[in-house]
Amino acid sequence: MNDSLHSAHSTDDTQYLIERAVQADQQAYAALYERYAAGLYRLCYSLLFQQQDAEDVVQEAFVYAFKNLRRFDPSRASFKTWLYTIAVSRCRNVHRRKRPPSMDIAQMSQLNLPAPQSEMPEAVLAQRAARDAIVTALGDLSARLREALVLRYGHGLSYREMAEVLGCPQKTAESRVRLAHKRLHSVLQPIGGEGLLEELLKIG
Amino acid sequence: MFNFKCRYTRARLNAFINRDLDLAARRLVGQHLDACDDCQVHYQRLRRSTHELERRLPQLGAPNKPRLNLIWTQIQQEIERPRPQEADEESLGWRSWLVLGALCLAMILPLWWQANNTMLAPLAQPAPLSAKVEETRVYLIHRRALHSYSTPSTPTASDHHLVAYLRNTPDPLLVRR
Ligand SMILES: [Zn+2]
Repeated sequence: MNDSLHSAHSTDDTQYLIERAVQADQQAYAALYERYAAGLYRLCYSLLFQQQDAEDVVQEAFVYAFKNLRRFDPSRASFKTWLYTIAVSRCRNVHRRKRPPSMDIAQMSQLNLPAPQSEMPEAVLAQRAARDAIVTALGDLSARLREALVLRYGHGLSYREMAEVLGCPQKTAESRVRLAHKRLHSVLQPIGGEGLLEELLKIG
Repeated sequence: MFNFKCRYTRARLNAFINRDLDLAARRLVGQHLDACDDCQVHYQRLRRSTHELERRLPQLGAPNKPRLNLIWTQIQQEIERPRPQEADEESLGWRSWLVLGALCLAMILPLWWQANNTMLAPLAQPAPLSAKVEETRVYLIHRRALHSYSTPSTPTASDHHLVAYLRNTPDPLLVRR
């Protein structure tokens, strides 16, 4: 792959890559994939909690985006939010097709594998439990609320960008985030009450 | 006690934490948080979970490089196939043509039916042509036959006369109705 294609990450640079990709430049396609694949996978995984489903959506979203690159209008959206819009819509389709995913915390977190529990201090175990609890709570949220939290905090999107991706007014995106927080609390409290929230505070 | 100030503050806590509020609103929320214990508790809780989410969510679903490479290989194979939008457009075009064809048919069919009826009826009982029209028709046929032997580049005066005459004359086919 051409190094110059990977050096900068500005919007202009992305636009340049898109223009080259439209002219069937394979390196430009590869560079776009390299740039956005990891983020897109994280997004899909956080919404679906299933590795295979998330990978399928990533593949479909990129294939669709690459084959329809001529239709991408940079004046209306950034390439990232366009790609996210495609992926979120496909994740919704997966949700519609399937029952809600079963919660496997270890797989859901997809964080580094823990050391054997016997060797771990109590505090670390408590923190891990707290972390798992928040992931479980996230899984219990409705798809719309989870989308809002994931885009906002997992990907740092502004409310305007969220509105673009979710296809809703900006106010709706904001109220979804607010509602998601509320739900998160009502889900977390039966698990560990205020004590758990204190635990969350201590993490990190 | 929960009052309208509490309601105002609670609705803006997220924005307050994210520093999305304008200065005036930020000041109002800040002042109320200093004065109201209940809202202060809410604020602290929301701030904690916000920070926790900001920390945890980006870690969720960390991708694995070999899997991403595998997906890329599959994407490459897919994009080398014919473009789907072309296929889409083709199938869309095909469908549009079908719909257009059906519409045309729907429009033409009654006309055709009407024409058929009006043409079949006189055929069953032909009306006699007027002598003048019949004469003109025969004359025209002869002229055309002659034209195939001698090819005049400009119409003759008699042609003009004939055309003018015919324009004022009912179409022989219509006359047959
Ligand atoms: Zn208050």
